[in-house]
Amino acid sequence: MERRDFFKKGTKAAVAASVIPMITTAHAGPKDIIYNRDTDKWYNLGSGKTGIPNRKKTADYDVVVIGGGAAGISAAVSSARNGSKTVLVQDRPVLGGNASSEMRVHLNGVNRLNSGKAERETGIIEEMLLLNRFDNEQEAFPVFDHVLYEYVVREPNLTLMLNTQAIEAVMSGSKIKSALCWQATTEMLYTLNAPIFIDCSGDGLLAATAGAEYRTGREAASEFNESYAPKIADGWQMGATLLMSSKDMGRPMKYTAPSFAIKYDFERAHPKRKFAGFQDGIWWIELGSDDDIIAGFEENRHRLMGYLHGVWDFIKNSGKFPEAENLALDWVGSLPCRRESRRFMGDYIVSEKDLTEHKHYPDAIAYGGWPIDEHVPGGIDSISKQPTYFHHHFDDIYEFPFRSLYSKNISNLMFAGRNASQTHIALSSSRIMATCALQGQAVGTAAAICIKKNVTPKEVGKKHINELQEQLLRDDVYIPKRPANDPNDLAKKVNLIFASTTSSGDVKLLTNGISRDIDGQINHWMSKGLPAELQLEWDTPIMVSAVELKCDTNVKRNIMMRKDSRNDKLYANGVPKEMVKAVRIQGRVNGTWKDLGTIELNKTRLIKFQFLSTKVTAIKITITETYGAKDVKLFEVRCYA
Amino acid sequence: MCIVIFFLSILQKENHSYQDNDNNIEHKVVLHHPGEKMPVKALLTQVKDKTGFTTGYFMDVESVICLENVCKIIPVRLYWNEIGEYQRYTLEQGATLEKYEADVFATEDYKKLHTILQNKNSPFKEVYIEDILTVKNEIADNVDAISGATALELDPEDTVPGAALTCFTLWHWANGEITPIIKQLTATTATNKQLIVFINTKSTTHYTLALEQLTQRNLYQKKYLEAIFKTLKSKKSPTKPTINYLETATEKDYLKYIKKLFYQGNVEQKIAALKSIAKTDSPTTPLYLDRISSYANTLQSYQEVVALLNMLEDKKHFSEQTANNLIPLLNADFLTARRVYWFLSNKKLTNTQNQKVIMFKNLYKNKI
Repeated sequence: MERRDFFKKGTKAAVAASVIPMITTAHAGPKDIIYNRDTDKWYNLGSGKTGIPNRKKTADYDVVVIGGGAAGISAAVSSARNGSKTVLVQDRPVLGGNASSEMRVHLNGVNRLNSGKAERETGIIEEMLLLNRFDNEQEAFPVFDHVLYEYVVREPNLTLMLNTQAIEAVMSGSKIKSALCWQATTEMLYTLNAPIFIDCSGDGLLAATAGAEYRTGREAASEFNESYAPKIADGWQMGATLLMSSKDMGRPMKYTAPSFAIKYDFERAHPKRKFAGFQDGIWWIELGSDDDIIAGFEENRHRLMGYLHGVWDFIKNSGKFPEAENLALDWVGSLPCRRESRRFMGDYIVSEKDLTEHKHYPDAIAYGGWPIDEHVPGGIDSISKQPTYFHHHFDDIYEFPFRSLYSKNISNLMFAGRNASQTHIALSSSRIMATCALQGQAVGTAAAICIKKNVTPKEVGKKHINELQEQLLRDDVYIPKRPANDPNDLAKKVNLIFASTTSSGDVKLLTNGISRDIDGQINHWMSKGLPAELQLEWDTPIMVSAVELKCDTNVKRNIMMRKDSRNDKLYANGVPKEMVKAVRIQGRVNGTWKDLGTIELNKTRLIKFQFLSTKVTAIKITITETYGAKDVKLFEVRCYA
Repeated sequence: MCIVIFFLSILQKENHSYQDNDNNIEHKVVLHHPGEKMPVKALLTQVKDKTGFTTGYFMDVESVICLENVCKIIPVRLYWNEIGEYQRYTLEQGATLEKYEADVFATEDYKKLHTILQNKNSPFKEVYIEDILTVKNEIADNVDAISGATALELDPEDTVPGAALTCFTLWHWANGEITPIIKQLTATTATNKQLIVFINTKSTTHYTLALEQLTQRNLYQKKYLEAIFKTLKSKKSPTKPTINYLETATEKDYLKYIKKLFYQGNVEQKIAALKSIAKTDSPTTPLYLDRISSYANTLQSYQEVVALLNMLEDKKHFSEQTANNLIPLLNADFLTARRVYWFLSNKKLTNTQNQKVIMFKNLYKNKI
């Protein structure tokens, strides 16, 4: 489909728009688009009319986000919350991307460092996973779809479009003017106009059609001095996996492989192609490409379905798995879970040494820590090779810079997730969904700054990076080695802060700008018993309208949903017992305490109170209940006018 | 050489006969072990010295929970001190512990097992037996698309490789439900005299157990209270059991000693005493509260002053004497002075007192 087919005045519009200031845009409208259904022979028996159905719509937004996975949701929600009218465009019927019920990959993050502990991502991704703990204790992937749906549709400034694919960027010079989107379920062609576009779709079709520079394949080791990269660059992209799950039927179950099954060659298989946990799927049933992985997707999908049934046939009928006798497949994937395709180029390309040597960036906005986990070229076709190479495990988390999240040549385009600006080897670690979500929150927040200040993403990176980092920190993102220092935070100007009891940490740490215990340092206050009170005193009265707390949810323990419902020291499948459940805020007005807000059933780590602006000399925070812990632990208190 | 001596001290292969003295008391106990579906009956032996003091406990347990009846079970004797802290273990003469596939424990493994059992916060505290029984998959934790690996991955420092089930089994025997049972046995079998020794000379655990016992036995004689207040001066005593104990005394004793705790205690104890007075139903006379307020100028922190004023407000107490006690605090640090100002500003004051309050108000009219 050629872009020009859609426009009458494409060339003129592009020339005219190129002299218009960056953010202000000449919007395309329905009249610009040739998509007339004038040959449609609809005779509506109900109305008795014959006519042309309306199949074209145009909408204006501040920010258009493409892709409804962890990165896209995070981008859209953060953009909307920070004041931008936002639309989230998702090409599937469900949200969640690789973690949706269509694919069912565990939403992993910094699950385990060499210390043996997690360093869980906070901010929006944490909110989603906590909501899942409340609403999906049974850990069902289809329910997770709806948890994410609830999380998105409840945002007042955010519009969700499902079953809608962004197929083409309409350009004005080096700027995207509109995204043409096709909504399959309604046969509707949408033109979405906006000053800022964010592509979190993984494959990045919108960004590619915009002309954003991108690469696929593996860099040569010499280009970025990468020790795990091949000597000579090649086109290999890691494979997509097709998962499945089975159910114990309580009686022997037969299995006959379908005609398209590909026999599993056990004799040639590398011993590291293990079957542990096979009843919930096998990750190494994967196929990639050394050329055009997107064009080859359907062919790979068919072969993966064949491999999946071949492996299951081996499990059921080889006699090597007596424990599988009562098992039957109760779900089989039809949509492979993609790891790698396009990587768009930003002003910085993150590479292996940046991760392993823990490069510190002045524009750090996210972090990662999954091992450098490069899946084998060929995937399951390379049956005699081990399925992945864990080149490097991390002692500590690494930083990720903002400069890798906007296009170097398309002025109003950002991206987050596996299509960010990085090498193949860096992607082998940073592709993990919770890491992508942190990037998503960063670009969503940056988009809102672009809108407020009428600047490009590049200008945010150059002139407003402090503001971006401060907003992310306020919104509960952790940025390594970057304590918050918000000049508007009145809690930092407090004359005295004290607690009713203390069992560990110090109440003074609640304003130090670091909202987790990390790098061997304690940054918390913990009460001795409940209820517990905190009091902040100012010697001069202040106007306050918001109080924000960050409570403990135990970021050293994973809370992502897993099919196996692990529940041990590293994984928990319930609501973290440490989290605050009930809390009350009071302000002292003319010497008398006045109630400012009460939460009885808190469900977030970042707890926000907003109330009418009130002149107070003190704030009292009373925590009456957690979800099980006998003491309450907080990491931060903020107050705003 | 050092290793050998240490090893011998934790692993005494003996006939257990030396414990069989006349002072020992055997207790039948029922324990829940996280690896067992049903409660387990066991015999816990309390060891006492010649003077009747409990010196420790021991109990024989099985080395491993054997689900398939294929593993070798070895009796292990575990020892605790008198407050339920694991001390050591012994095996019968000639017995050895086994790992998977009939491999036996090496000397270092016995030593490591002892270290694991000593660690009250061992990872074994939180894992489930199912995790231990699942076959280990060496790359299970490291793949983004994996769907079901449940293999337990413990730091080699935290376990005896190949014997995780033995470590798990023994850790929960050594550090599980037995600990509170031992504490209670030691406390309930202690004589009244021994409770005073607990208060005077032992740990905060002993102090807490002693005060719980005094409360249960309804003992409020002078000798006990003196022991408690003597301890207050010499070391940091836990506040909560002290308050709980005093709150169950007679009204007269409560009012006398809670006031004493307020006078003599540290900051935490002063604040706890004031909070206790604020909510007590014991009748507090105006004179009593005036006396409490007379200590206002000795308070060192804003929080103590806040607790005092909150208590007076809860008790709805105000008097000329109380005002006199508080007026000097108008010259304290500003936050304290402002809190006192608010307390006094709506009270009926003498002219002199009122002048001082108005003076404060005028001086800080932009800050109140």
